[in-house]
Amino acid sequence: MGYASGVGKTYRTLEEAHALKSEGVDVVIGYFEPHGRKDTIAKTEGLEIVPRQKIRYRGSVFEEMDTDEILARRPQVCAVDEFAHTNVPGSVRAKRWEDTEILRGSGIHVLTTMNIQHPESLNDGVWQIAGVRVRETIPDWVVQGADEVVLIDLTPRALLHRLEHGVVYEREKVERALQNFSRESTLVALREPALRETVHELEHRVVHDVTGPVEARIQSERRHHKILALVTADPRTAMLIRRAKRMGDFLGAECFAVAVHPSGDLSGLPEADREAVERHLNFARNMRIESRILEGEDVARAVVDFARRNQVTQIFLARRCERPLVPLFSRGLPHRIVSLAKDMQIVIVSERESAGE
Amino acid sequence: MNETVPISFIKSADEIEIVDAPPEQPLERSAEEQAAAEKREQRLSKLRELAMVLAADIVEHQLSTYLERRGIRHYFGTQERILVCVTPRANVREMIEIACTVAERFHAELVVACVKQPGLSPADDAALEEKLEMAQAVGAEIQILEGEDPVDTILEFAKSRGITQLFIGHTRRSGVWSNLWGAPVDKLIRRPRGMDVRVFPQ
Repeated sequence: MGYASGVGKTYRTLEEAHALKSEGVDVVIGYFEPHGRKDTIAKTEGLEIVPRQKIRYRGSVFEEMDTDEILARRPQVCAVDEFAHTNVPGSVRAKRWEDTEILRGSGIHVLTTMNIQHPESLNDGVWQIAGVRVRETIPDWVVQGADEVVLIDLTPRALLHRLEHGVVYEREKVERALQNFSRESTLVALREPALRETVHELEHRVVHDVTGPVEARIQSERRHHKILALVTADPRTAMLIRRAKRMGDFLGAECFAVAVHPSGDLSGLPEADREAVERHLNFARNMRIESRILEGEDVARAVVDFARRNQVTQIFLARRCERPLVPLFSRGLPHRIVSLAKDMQIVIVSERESAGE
Repeated sequence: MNETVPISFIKSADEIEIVDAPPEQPLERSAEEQAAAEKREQRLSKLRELAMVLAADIVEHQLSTYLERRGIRHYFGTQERILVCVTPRANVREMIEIACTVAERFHAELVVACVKQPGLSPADDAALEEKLEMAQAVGAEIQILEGEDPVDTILEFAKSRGITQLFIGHTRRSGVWSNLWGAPVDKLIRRPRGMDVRVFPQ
């Protein structure tokens, strides 16, 4: 895990691969992205590289990791660069992390690299810092499935120095990089969440196998807290689900994502709304959140009833767009839920300001 | 440990860099080896965490200095900052318990604040005092704010400190405090930008 491109993740992975090889472990490179970096390319020498597969798409040929070939080769350990990569259309699986899951599923250990902008639940935080919506995300449960997370750190100044001297990117990419993720302020700001996220990943791993007082408390909290996120067609729902899931992960709480509609399915909704609600429910499912559509005319009541039946302790709602001329007495959904669910915590989630705006 | 370095020295460093490595993990291990290794790994893991939390604090400080130098007064890290609003009748114990848990898990800052209102009854005054003591006992930073309008005062303070999570209590009874605070709950739900509002049952 690093906070930006160029901190040395690939280099470190290759070093690790060499170290394993020298201990007699059967290790191969499944995918390697040189980025034109000479010292990194040199580091692959002496390591077996499984050839990439060629995929034809719209008249061009693209190269992707050849998962079948690696499975046939059956190494003990496989190094796979750029965990968050999206495969070219026409590949068997959409994402590289899905290929990696296949490798892991067949008993091959994987060394891989990712940046702090890639975990799904950090998407809003990264947008806030960098002003960029990252599309290549990895569901948090995949990252949590790693046996070990190692932070590759470098000071922003040293990284910028590398960038300006063309060590990190090929020349033509430097300009673009300097404008987005690699502006000094962005680098300084991304480093902190990278450190904190790694701490969280470490804690997450320790908690699993100990029974000390802290761990016992987390266990009991797991029973205590249950989170429900209300899914609507509102575009802020994705942010809401991420926030609820993140809180759930940190508190060790179970999460539900719930939409409400009079008919219990989504028929009768305008096409665009139905599509949005379905997309949000799918998004929640991909993050391994239990998702439901409830039947009910009264959204607030249906949500609160469901919450009570399922011992939910925290309801997460997205703050609505404020219409300035709405009279005070016509209170919105958050107010109704707050007044109906006086026995629960209601969290009204708000978009954080982005540095890019 | 006999060889120590003052924390102030580390915090004043221009640069800090983490050199991280996982504990050595052989691919295969016997059951006895496993048990002994796990204990050792947990200790090492705690030390790794400590090192990274310290580095994160320093990096955060760097960021705010960096922004200040450029005249930017804006919190935009992902560090969570929690503000618990205390009123005489609020169920502060539950609020502080949850706030502590969240703060601990997110390594967040925790501030507990109340707005001093003129003309508080001695009973309310004592209740408030007791609640602030409770907050102090868990190591929270205490802020006693003054201002005409409690909501404005809280929100202004929250903004100045880059608060990301605001914890407020629901009022169950009517009376002076519901006028001063019951309606404010509505305002506090409606108004804040850039922070989450958590309303607690009372």
